[in-house]
Amino acid sequence: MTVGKHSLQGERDSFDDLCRKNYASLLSYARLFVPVHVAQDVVQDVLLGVWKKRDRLDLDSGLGNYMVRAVYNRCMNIIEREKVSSRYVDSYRNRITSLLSSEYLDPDRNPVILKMYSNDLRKTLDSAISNLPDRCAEVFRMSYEQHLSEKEISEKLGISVRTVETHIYNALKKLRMQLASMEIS
Amino acid sequence: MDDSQVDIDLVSRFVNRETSQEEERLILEWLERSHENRKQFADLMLNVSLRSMLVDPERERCEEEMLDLLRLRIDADSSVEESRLRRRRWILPFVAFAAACVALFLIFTPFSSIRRDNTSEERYQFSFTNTKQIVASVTLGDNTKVMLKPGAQVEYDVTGFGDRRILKLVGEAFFEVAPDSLRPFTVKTGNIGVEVLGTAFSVRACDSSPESEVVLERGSVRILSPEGYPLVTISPDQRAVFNVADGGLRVESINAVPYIAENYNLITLSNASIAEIVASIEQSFSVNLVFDGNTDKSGKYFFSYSVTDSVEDILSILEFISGQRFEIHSSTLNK
Repeated sequence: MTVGKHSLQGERDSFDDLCRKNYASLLSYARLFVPVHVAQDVVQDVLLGVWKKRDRLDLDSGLGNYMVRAVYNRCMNIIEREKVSSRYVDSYRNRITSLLSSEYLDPDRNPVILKMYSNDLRKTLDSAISNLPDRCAEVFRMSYEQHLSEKEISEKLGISVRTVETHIYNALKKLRMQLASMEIS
Repeated sequence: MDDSQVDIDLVSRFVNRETSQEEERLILEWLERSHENRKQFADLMLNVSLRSMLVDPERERCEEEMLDLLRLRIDADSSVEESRLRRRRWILPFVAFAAACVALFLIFTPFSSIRRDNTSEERYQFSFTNTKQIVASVTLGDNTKVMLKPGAQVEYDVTGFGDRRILKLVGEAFFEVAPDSLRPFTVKTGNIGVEVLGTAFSVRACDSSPESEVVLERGSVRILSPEGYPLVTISPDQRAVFNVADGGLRVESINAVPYIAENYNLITLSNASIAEIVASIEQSFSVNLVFDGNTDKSGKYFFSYSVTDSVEDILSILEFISGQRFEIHSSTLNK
């Protein structure tokens, strides 16, 4: 197969877009299972796999789900390997992860996982935030869009840090529930 | 631990790997109590994760860093494909190893311009030679772990203020490189360079043999020619073998974990009873172990250890997973 320079560059550009859209979600997901530097390797390996298999993968339908499953499978393999080589002696942590991963964090057992991690969240986020109670949305925007710390937000709004925390976690809880009820487009 | 103690803060610290062993023990106990507890904890983990996904001021920088690395890997792959096409008349025949091995890339690199004296300018602060007959392990100043085969020698400077971490290797070694995105880690041998993009791998480069070998367990590494040109980027479970005499390079698939375990004295017992594990440790270290024979011995374990670890460390792990006390019978200890 010959690919012209122009179309290869086009392919590279749309692949970059795909990576930007999915990186944060896939990394957050992988971090539930493995340390952050391993999670970065995992996501990079998955994305490279997508690039290499681009002829065979349908880039439009179901790719998000495919990548989430690929991240899950790679992470499970790594945890299995670490059990064998026992180079990380954090056994309580590994046992907790094993206990939770098969039932609650597996994309095929818990449908929320696919909905949370396979969509381009930034696109759907604005409408989701606008459905939050006013104060809650305001606090969440300050944290999410302006990257202010909880202390800075509490000073700006004259409320306690504890209240800021409560708003943020209520917002996250509602957002997660909203995302879960959303159709996968 | 009761329900009121499981809050988002604890879960957040758990996800960020800031919890202590004791806290993790309590969490595990609490989770084992009921389905509801597990569901609640998993939901909180998803909350924390959603937050890290949305509220990370560093995200764009991280995304671009990752994209740069990914582009490097894609370019390295495609440049190998291109040079294979361009340099067809120079391609050398090669022999595939076992039937299970798959050769992926083969390119020729000219060597007329090797400058053998170019290492004399490089200064290394530390050096270490393994004079023992068994694998020795060293932890470098940046927390990178290196396991050296007998006779292997490393010279390195990884803690300085330079923008690179460089290590020179003669012999065979396994590396588990401490991540530091600002300062790439490079392993140099007489014949090749290995640039690390975050990772666990082994390198074999003996002065007497024209072949250098790199096996990658995790992450990604780039193999460089002696002049520093990228030759190929390999993926987990691949082995690259470079022959400096004829310039041949082959990449084949390999099961990296057992390969590295076998080569670096990691002894792996799967589905083994406590008695079997004890027998294996006794044999490896020439010691006699005493343990309480009355407790439950029916458990089967995955257990592995390196013969370069201290026997005390290995026993403390075994005590941890089995819940039994072990003692070394001192009169038979044979160091």
